[in-house]
Amino acid sequence: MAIFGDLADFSFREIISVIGKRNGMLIIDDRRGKRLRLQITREHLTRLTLEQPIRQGELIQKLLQTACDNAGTFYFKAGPADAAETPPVHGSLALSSLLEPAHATAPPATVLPHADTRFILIPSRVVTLDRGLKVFLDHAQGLLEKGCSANQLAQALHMNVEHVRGYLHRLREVKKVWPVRAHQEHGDSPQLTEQRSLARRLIGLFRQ
Amino acid sequence: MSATQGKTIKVVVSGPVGAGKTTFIRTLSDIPVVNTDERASEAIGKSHTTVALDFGQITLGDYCVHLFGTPGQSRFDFMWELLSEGAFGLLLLLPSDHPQSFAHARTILEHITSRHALPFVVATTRGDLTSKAWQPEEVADYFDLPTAQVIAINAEQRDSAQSALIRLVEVLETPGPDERPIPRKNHE
Repeated sequence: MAIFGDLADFSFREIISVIGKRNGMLIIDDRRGKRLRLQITREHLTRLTLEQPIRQGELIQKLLQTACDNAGTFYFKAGPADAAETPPVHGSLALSSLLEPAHATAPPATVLPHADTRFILIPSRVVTLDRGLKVFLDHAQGLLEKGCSANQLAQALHMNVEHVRGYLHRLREVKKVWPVRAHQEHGDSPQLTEQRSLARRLIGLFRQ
Repeated sequence: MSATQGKTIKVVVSGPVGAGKTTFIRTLSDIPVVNTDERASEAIGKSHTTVALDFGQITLGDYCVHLFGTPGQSRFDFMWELLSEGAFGLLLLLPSDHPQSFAHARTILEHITSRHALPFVVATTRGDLTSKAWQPEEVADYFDLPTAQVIAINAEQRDSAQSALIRLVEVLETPGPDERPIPRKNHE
């Protein structure tokens, strides 16, 4: 198993999302030579070290923000959960409590969605947004309920399309919007039924 | 346009630069592959890159599967759209040892599948070349996909490459869950 990459390509939120329920050690190296080790057990941060133990919750959050500012690498090494009889040294923090609300850090252009990719609103999802993002969502909500792209939103709302791409990226990060899967929109159409029938024939041919 | 013109089936093979699309099509094709490689004008890690499309063909019983490989670079994104029209399905190839390309792969996947009703599979490549590679289940977590939609292959081996096509057909045959994220009880 190897979950690794560069912090310029993955946000801390994405890293935590991929780690999911895995237990192990997340190692973050920044370009200044410092190393953060996060011991993760059952979706909780049970230990964090930066050359010396860190105790205060606020300082942990500040250090993560500094370390994950797009200038470093990370590596997650899966391992066993901390044994129940060994209490965590620094208390146990839910990882989700360390995630910042989706806010104004501009994502790099390389991770932004294509301007023609359609997104749809996830109405039942409750998230914390900064003011700018909330205002955008208030204006865009009606269009996003039906599914639309950055280009369409920029035209309808008279906004810069690059700004809209950035907003959609941040909303997708917190899963308030999600890319449309046109295939799933079709439901049980005759076309889909025909394709499934064809698929069964093809499977038979592959297995001959 | 039907994805099956008579007994011809069109499958799109896409993904970021260096994922192995051209190699994949060359491995599977029963005919010499038509490709449009030109010398790369940017530093992309190799000397040549696809600028329009790759084309290969597999005969499967009475069916002819046409494989269309797209260029990986964003400046050719109009080709993603053109080549996806009327396709039966999409194979997104992803180099598992180059996580710096995952965000771009996601851009390609979302762009195509949000606009075309295509079932798809993510096929990770290059995992046989190094131990430091993302595993399929980890890639599935990155893309928020069911693990059945991500498969590791060797693009240079026919049986392995073919397994990606088989998985695509299986995904189409079996209705899958709604991929949208399930809202949590408490907000984060």
